[in-house]
Amino acid sequence: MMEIRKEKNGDTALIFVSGEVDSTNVNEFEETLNAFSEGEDKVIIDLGDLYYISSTGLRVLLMLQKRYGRGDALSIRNTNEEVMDIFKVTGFSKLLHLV
Amino acid sequence: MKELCINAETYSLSELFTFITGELSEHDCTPRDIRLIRLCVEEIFMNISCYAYAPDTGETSVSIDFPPVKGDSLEVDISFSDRGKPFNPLKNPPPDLDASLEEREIGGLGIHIVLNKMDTVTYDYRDGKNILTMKKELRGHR
Repeated sequence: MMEIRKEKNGDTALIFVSGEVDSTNVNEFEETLNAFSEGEDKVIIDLGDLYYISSTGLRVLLMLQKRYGRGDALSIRNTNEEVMDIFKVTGFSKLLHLV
Repeated sequence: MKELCINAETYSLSELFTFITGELSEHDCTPRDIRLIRLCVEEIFMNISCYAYAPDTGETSVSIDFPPVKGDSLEVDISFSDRGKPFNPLKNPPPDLDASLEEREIGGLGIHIVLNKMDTVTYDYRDGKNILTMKKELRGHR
């Protein structure tokens, strides 16, 4: 089960992802992230309540980070220990802009 | 040992998750260990789903076993078998973890995660079947 919601804080789009991202819901994950970030210059993705993500979800985050490039236009915050462990194993802890 | 035979299609994943998490729960695995094993199961299954029978479809058998071990550990052995094209995913080139954001390719992550998180992963092609087995000892289980 996965839930994604968006809030605006000034010129920043805050996107909260909770639950689990796996191969059964990754299309929804990708489409919603793309829709919520569309036209936004500054995006923060909050993963505080995300406790499972498989490689298919990682690919979506990587593509989004590639789109925004390095720097702080796209940031990812509140990653929990388990998900951070997967980020480290896959080298994503160096690719994603984690805050 | 328990076994589940399913179509190697994404829509079978929920049934596979129910099977695996049910067995792990019955053996009192922690939610964190269950998520870890489930992650590795998803990665291998999706690999089979994408490549074993493409462009056709076929079946995959997934078995789970808990062989006796000494001490307070629990060993989990999970085996996947299919009759698809002979394919050893362990020979896939590993992702370049040092590549820059711009250079980093999208792919090859699943097997890399499994190799890192399981204790042993072996592949064999026997009797017309791809057989991939992975094992993990969960320490401090009891």
